Amino acid sequence: MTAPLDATESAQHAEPEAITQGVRDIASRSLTQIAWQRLRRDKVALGGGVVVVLLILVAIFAPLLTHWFGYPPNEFHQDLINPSTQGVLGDDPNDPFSTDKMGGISWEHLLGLEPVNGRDLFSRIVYGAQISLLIAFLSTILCVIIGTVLGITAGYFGGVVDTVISRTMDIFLAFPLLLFAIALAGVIPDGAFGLTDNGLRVSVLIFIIGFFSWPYIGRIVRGQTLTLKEREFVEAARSLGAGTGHILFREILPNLVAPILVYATLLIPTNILFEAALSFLGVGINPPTPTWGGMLSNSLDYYTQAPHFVIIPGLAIFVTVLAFNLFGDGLRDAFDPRSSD
Amino acid sequence: MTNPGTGSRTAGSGGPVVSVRDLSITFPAMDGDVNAVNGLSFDVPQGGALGIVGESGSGKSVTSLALMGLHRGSKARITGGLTVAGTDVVAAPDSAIRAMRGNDIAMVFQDPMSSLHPQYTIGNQLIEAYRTHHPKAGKAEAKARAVDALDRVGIPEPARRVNSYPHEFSGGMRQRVLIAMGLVCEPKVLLADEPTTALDVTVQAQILDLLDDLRHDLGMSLILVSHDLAVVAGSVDEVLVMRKGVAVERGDVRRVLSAPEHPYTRALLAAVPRIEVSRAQRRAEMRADRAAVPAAGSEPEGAAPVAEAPVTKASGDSGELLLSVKNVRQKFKVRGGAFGRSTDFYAVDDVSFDLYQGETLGIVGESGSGKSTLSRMVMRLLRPSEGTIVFEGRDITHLPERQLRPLRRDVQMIFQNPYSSLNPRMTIGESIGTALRVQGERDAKKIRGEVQGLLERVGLEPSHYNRFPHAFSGGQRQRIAIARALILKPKLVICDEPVSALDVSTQDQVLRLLSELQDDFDLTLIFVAHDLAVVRQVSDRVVVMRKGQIVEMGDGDEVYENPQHPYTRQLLAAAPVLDPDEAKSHRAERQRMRRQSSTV
Repeated sequence: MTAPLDATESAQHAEPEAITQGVRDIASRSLTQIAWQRLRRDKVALGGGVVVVLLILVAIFAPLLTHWFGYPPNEFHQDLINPSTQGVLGDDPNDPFSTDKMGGISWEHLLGLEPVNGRDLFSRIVYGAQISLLIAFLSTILCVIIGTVLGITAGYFGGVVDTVISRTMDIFLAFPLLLFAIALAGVIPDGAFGLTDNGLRVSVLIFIIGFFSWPYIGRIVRGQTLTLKEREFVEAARSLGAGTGHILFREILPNLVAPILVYATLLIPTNILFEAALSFLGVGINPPTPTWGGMLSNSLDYYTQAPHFVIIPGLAIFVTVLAFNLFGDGLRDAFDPRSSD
Repeated sequence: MTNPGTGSRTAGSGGPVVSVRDLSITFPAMDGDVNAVNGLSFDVPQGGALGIVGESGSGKSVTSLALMGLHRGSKARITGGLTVAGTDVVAAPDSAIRAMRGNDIAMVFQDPMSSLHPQYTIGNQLIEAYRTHHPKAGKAEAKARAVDALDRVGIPEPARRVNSYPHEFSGGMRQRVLIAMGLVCEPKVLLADEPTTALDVTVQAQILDLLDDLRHDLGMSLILVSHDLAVVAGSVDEVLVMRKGVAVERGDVRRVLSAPEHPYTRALLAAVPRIEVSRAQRRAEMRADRAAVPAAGSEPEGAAPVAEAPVTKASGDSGELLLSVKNVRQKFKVRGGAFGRSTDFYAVDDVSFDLYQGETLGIVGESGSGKSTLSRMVMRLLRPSEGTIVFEGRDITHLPERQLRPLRRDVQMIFQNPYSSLNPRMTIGESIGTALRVQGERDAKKIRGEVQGLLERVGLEPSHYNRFPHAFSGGQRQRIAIARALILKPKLVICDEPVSALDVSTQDQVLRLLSELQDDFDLTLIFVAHDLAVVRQVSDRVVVMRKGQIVEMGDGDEVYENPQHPYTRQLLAAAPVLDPDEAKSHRAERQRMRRQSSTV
């Protein structure tokens, strides 16, 4: 028995109005908008983001802030320092060794004073943020540019190009970066490249950090490109007659923006730490320009008399790095295709 | 609920082994609860077989997971009665559920490639499955059981193969191993969730035959979950059709398939491509349908000529030669062996065919047959290693990318996966318009106008221009992909499995659209697919490929009704059919062929 299937009946079933049904309300929102929406629900990441924005504002408006709430960062206040202990002068005028355990934290000096010279810590932290963020941002931008260009090239063209670039990345990652940075900072004379003093120091730091961290971005971009170029929309673009430029910049690159953004955000705190480490080792910015790492380095000699001098720059680095990491993690979750619908 | 018809039941049909009463499953979601299953009831008697059929999102997989008690620990809320071999799956403690799984009810999953642990031998995994439920059993006993189970599912040399790792088996063999794993504790019910969806048609037939044999030999009950009515037809007594979490129809398989009561079942059945319906029949039917629609409106007279006229044109050989492929081969280097030496592998090996203006050439083959590689060579996304491809009298075999650009206007491709063939970061308007832009059109307004016109033509709305692909369903995306292929007004369109990722009813709509567009745009098509029935309905001529070579080529009806090559015959016997009786005769035919090949 064959099923008596009525051929003419099949005409009615197609439900033509159903074709366009269910194009969802979210329809005209792009993936970025959806990610943003998801990010807004992530309170922890949002908190990190707010802190990041505040830090950037602090760095930008450092002169204004110090004008209102502090003193110039390099102004000495030795009248407030106990000459025998080098700590901040305490309350007891009869005790020659009296020091203020709070480090002179008051309405006058919001974060207290530095030992020895008595410089205002609040202004130094605020100006330190400028240097830290400047170096971290610019070096990260350098990483992203080198990493994206080389990563996308390696991933898309493959073959010998890929082998050469990938091996170069391995070499860069294997480089003893810290030693190299210390050596380079000692070798480059003042006035090289037409830059002097801190201009030169900042540029050298940006260059070193950027030039040696790009493989982190490069590897991610290469991996993403490898999978993206196998996707059918790339083949479709080729079969429409699109050239390599169109495919790289119009088809593939927009799909790389999310991962690049995420990893750049996670690279910034690494670079902040790296800058702090270099300043700590004394190969960073020249004194008296304030940097967080440099302050930490100075503070270690006085940690008994002035514990706040250790804690405050340490806390500044800690909060900044944590905020960037939380924000970056949130960003990654928001962009993650696995959690998408 | 006890089934008439199939008599060969070994066990006495006592009470039902599986009983589901008014089952509802709800998932909490961001914007309100989702009712995955709503008021579902069914029974499966001992030794009986139930097929659960539905399209994606119908709730069939959720139901089968709930039967295994796998909803536990998830956020799903479950109400109603769910009893498997006397265990109340909704209320019983976790320990009772663990004892039930594997022992009373075993599950075979869809993807045999990811369901086995790659780091353990299959013997290890089988033994573990047995010893979990029989903790007192010794190693030797468990191993004997494992070998037994492998033998029963038809793994050759089970005593030796028990020590092999999963990667040493093919997909079909892995699915057998998974079934063996299900069988090792001799469960009362075997639950197979899309067990053959990831497999080729010949392997699918073998697995379905195996399940059928096991059910009869061991007196097990079988629950077969599938999106494909034809897969279920030959293997079950009773069928349950689900849609959006609700059972729309339930009954004896013959009755449901021959006299469906619910309109949805009727629609579903009508949408299933039938291998016994020829190209001409199908085309005439589609054109008649199409003519009937405008007839209600403006042009009452137009119906007959539309249905008649193009039929004559369709008979391929009258058109002029459009494409000629001669002795092409595509070589890939396969890395491996000692010292990283690579060996050559021919994905397409010496293939030739001609294609005439206006005809449709179907290319059928299983995975690895080289059909996709061949279509990419014709598209010149790949450069053939040997041979020539001549399009409109021009040799395009070795044209560099830059010179191919004008050719791209004439030859276009529709890809298999509508989810990956559209750039997620571009609006669909941009995606479709890209073609015009790269071909030199600069007038943004004109591009927009053309794209919107075409969107309308493929059944979408012009206002969708600024939406992103993720807002569309699979079928809608495939329409967008079709629009993109047609925007340049090509002469030849290569369709690489254009409907294999879609549900049956969507598949039917897309096929109809393609057929309409072929008439309207005067297209020549190459239609590549693994589904024999789909290919028959769209193709004037058919090419059957196997391992990179053409085994048979000819007029569509000729190949299907009078296959010459044994491989074609094997494929045709393996194709699932809707009629349960015919499915049984196909099964007998397959057994005969298997016996034949084993004696040779």
